Order: sequence, then C-alpha cells, then structure tokens
Amino acid sequence: MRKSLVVILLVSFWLVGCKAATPAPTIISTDLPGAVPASPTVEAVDYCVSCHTDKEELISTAKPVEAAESESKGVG
Amino acid sequence: MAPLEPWEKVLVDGEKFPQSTHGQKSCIDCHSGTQSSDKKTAHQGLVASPSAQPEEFCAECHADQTAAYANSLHNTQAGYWTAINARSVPENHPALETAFNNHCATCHTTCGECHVTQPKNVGGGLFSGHLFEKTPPMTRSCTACHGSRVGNEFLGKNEELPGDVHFREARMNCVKCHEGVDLHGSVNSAPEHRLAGAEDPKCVDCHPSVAPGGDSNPMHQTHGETLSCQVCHSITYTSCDGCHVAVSETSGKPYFETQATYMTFLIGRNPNPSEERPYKYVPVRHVPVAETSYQFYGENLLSNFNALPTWVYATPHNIQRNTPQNSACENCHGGNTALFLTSDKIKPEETEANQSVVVDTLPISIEVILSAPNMPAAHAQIPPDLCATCHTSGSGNAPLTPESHAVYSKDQCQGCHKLPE
Repeated sequence: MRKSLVVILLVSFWLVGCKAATPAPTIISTDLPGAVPASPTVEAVDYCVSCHTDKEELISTAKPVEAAESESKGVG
Repeated sequence: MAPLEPWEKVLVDGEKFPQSTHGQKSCIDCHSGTQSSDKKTAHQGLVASPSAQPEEFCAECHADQTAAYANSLHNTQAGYWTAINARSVPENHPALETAFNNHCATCHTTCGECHVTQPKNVGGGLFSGHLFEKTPPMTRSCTACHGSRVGNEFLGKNEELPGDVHFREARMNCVKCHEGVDLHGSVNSAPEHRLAGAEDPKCVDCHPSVAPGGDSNPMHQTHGETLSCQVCHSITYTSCDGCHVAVSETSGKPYFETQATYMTFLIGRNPNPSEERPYKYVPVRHVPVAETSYQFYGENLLSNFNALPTWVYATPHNIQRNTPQNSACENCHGGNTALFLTSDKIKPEETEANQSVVVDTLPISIEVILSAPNMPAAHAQIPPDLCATCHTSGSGNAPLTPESHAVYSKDQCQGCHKLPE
C-alpha cells in the first residue's frame, strides 16, 4: 500500500513536470483617479525659443550679410 | 525704410509671443526644422515662410480668409497678366513668364508678409518679435510695397505737396478704407485687375451727402456722375516712363531701370466706363511700360503694345477738400489745356495706344454754359440723347444746332441747356 502511494506520487510529479510552462501573470498598470504623474527631473529645452529670444546669441551666430549693391535705377 | 539687421529680422519676443494665440504652437509645428543646439542641424528642413502654403498652415483656424485669398490680387497678381496678355500674343508668353518671374513675382504677398514680417522685397524681418498683427503696420507693410506712388502721396512725402487729408487730419491708415475683406479677396470672384468689379472703397460710402442728389453743392450735383471724385479732389502725383528689365551679367541678379519719374496732374477720358465706374473723365497717370520694356528677354514681346493706354486710370491717394482745379469753374471751363491730357502731351510713339484716353475737346467755357438758353419745360420728358433728332432736322420748328456745336457730344446738351427751375 505504501509502495503504491509512492509510485502514484512519483508519477504525479513526473506528469506535472511535463506540463507546458504557464506564463507569469502580467500586471496591468492603470492610472488611478487623482494619480499625479512623476515630475521629470530634467525639463526639455526648446532650442528654437532659447536661441531666437536671445539677442546676443543671434548677433554672434548671424550669417554675415553680403553687401550686394542693387543695379536697379530709378523708381520701382 | 531702413533695412533690419540680420538678428533683428529673426528676434522673437520671448515674453509676449509665448502668451499670444500663435505662441501656443511649438516653433516646429509651423516651421519644421529640428530641436538641436547646433544651428545648422536645427535649421535642416526649415520652412521659413509657412504661410506661403496657407492651406496647410493657416486654413485650420482661418478657413474663410485662406479660401478667399486664392483669388486676391495680392496673391494672383492678375493685374500684371491682364496688361501683359493684352499687349502681347500667346507665343510670347513663355519669355514674358521668365521676365515676370524674375522681376514682378517678388510682389506676390503671403499672409505672413502682411501680418508677421515685412515683405521680402524690402528685406523681410519680423515686425514685432513674431507677434501676429491683425492690422498690418502701414509703413512697414502696405507702403513698403505701395510706396513710390501711393505711399508718398498719402503720407505727404512728395516735395511741397501735402499728404492726403485722411492721413493729415484724421491719421487714418490704409485699412480704414481698404478693409481686410477687400485685401483678402473673395471666394466668389477672381478680379482681373484692381479696377474690375465694384468700386470699393467708394468715397460716398463715408461721404453719402456728396452723391448725386445728396447735397446742395452744385459741383457735386453737376459732375457727380461724370467725373471721378479724384478729378476734383486729388493733386499732383507721380508718373513714370520707360521701365526696362534685365539680368545682370556680373551678379546674375535681375534689375530694372526706370528712365524718368515726374510729377503730373492730368485729366483724361475714362477708357472703360462701366456701371460701377461710369465716369467720363478720370485722372490719368503714365505707367512705366514701354514697347521695349522686356526686350532683354526677346524682340518685340509686347507686339500689341497699342492695345492699352500708357496713361491709365489713376486713383491718386492725396485727396484734398480744396485743390487748384476745384477753386473755380474757369479752371476747367476756361480753355486751359494744362489740366488735360491733350495730344501734345503724349509721346508720338504712344499716340495710338492712348486714343481712348486723350482729351480732344476741352470742356465748354463757363461763359458759354451760363449764357446758353434753357430748354422749354415741356422737354423734361425727352431723353437727353434725343435732342439731336429734332435739332438737326428742324422737325417741329426746332431751332437747328449751330455749326459751332459740332465738337460737342450729342448726349450732353443738358450740360448747358438746363430745364427751367
């Protein structure tokens, strides 16, 4: 009797070991009402605005104007 | 107007612009480009003038204006082509298109060139830190393009000539008369030139009492339908001669040369009287076209040069209440040729072109007008163009028209022979 019980247990363990692995349950994150998103540690820089509102920066980076004298004469 | 420094042209107002409606969009939303601290990288794919594609960038919020603007003369420049087509033939159009694109297309205007920046042809640059101006600033927008004639007249920049009374006395700017709806165009019509369609703006819209039948001024009542308002209320204005265009051999850039600019005030005949502009007489201005204006691009491109006058219907923007010509009847009705575009003032080579505007017969002298006998009261029901029916045949014992009247128009008898009051 004891011997049969051991055989049954061994067979059961063997069968369980052959079963396909079950994927681990995924945790779906949902925003709860009133949840506050974590604030970013670094603010994004708007390079367009930062350059085009900085007079000194624009002066230093402006392309030199090529003095092209117009050949037009008289009233246009 | 002094050109802006390169940095001034692109300096954005960091305080006001982000607070404005258009400042709620990111720069890249309209101008593309890339977020980068490196100037070259940041400007890759840049769209400098988004409103050159108004359907893409403006229509979402300004659908009506965008749709109408497709027909606006500021966009189509149809006025140029109406004149060029009339003076040319289809086989010359390719060469003329090249000339047009080199020299004339720079006058094309985008939404941004009125509401955000100065026009390209005066160097461009933001008006006020990229703020969008609902009303374009007059001298940095309107007269930046319309400066050499309209701007100088209106602002009183012609030597010893006062500016327009609407500017001098009331500081009115252009859009007080030329409202946005006029400047933006209409979805319902695509005008061929600026004098097509209704007269708008029209002086009587603001001055209704001067319309015929409106006030007691005998000048308005007598001349209201035959003279444009400017005939009596504008003063000396600019005319130009002989604009020629070419591309520089040294720089490769297009240029023009105008042979002469001079001041005139001349009354001519209206070449195209219409229901909207029925006037018989209008001020005329010499435009700088010449038969050889485009000869750099080919011989005889304006092969129908005589199809249009070179003295054109003008609307000088220097209106005055009192002018030299409206000070007395004799100024026009006194045999003075100085005020009129008589044939001796037209260059011989332009005589044929100006047949529709030249004044062959001067207005009748005031003495003759005042001494002319009145019509019988019973003639009140007879249409004015029927006078000649009896007065040239003697029918019904009607007195015959004197030979001296041969020079007068047969539908203007009532100008001198009034009905009894």
